[in-house]
Amino acid sequence: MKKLLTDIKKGLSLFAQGFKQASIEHIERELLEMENGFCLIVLSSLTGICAPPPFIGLSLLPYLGPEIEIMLKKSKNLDDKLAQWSDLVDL
Amino acid sequence: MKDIFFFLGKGGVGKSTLSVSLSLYLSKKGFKVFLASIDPAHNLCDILKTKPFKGIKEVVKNLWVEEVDLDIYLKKYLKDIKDKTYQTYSYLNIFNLDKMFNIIKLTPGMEEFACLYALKDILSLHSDKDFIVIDTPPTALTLRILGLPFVTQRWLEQLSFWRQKILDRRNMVAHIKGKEYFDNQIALNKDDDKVLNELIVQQKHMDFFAKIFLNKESTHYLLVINPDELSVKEGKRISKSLRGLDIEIKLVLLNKRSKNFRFKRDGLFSNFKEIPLLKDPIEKEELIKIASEWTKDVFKF
Repeated sequence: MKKLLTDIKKGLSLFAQGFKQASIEHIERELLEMENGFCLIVLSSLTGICAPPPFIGLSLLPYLGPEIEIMLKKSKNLDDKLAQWSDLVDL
Repeated sequence: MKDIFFFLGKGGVGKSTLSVSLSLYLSKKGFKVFLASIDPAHNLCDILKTKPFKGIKEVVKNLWVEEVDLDIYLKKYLKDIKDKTYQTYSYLNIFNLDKMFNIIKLTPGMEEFACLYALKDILSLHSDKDFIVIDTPPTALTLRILGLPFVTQRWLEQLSFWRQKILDRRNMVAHIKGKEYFDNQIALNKDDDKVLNELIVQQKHMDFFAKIFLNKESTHYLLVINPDELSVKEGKRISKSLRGLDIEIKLVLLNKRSKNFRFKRDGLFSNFKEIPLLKDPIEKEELIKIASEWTKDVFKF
């Protein structure tokens, strides 16, 4: 009986962990997108997209290391996706 | 500091002459005056008949003059960014803002920013003066300078909001996965986030300008026009654009008065004074006399 209860407890905690994992994955994905978007907007004047005054991007540049990394990773993946898509539609 | 005067108008209408005129008059009255030109094409020294100089000089008693070199301000700003960037990413040896100076300098928005940067210095360093007189560049650039703090304020507000949301999400993730999940470089709270702090610093700068530009008690905008259709039309455009920013023209100065020109008063130009055409060489005494006449009934010095 005691073993059964422990197993049920374990099972429930695994469930809870699974839910936690699923919910946090969504937030993490949202976080990555927001960081990527933020960096794109802030630095867009330096990359040619319509944007806030360029000095905002320049002033924040020293502190945007992690976001720049995310942006670069994202753009790398984006390239791959485009390539995949082009391949798919036989371009 | 008592008051700030901005002389606005189309190129060549006599903004510099009239700003020198007012500055000489006030300094003669015993007030300490700082006269600055933020127009990239300076001519204060010509009007004051002094040899061109760099930096600040007391040209006559109680009158300090500076023809602001915007390149110096931009270089100073970029050096500051470069130093901070090196501190953060020491491995970025190839990152060279100096080489990009000419491109950055000509990037839309940077010249206006350099003007604001210079204005901040002028207003902070010369707060001991009784009056600050600013000779501005021609219309387009001046309107962009005056509008920049308001546009930037909106951007900074939105970016700060966005950044705050990022920090909230990071905290959610850290709460579940533990703080170790994030790299040491990643800030989780407001105080540690250098990006948010920099946005707040910039916001304070812009609030400083907005407060000064909108201060109806102590900041005065004087529009200079000539007796010709073009400068009057441009004057109306300035007046209209400034109204959009909630800035009112205090006084319109119709410079180089001509008997043949009929000036129509309307809502935009309700308060104006006429100034006669001065013949070269213009003496300082003559400039002082002119200012004593047009300031009468408008300002109490």
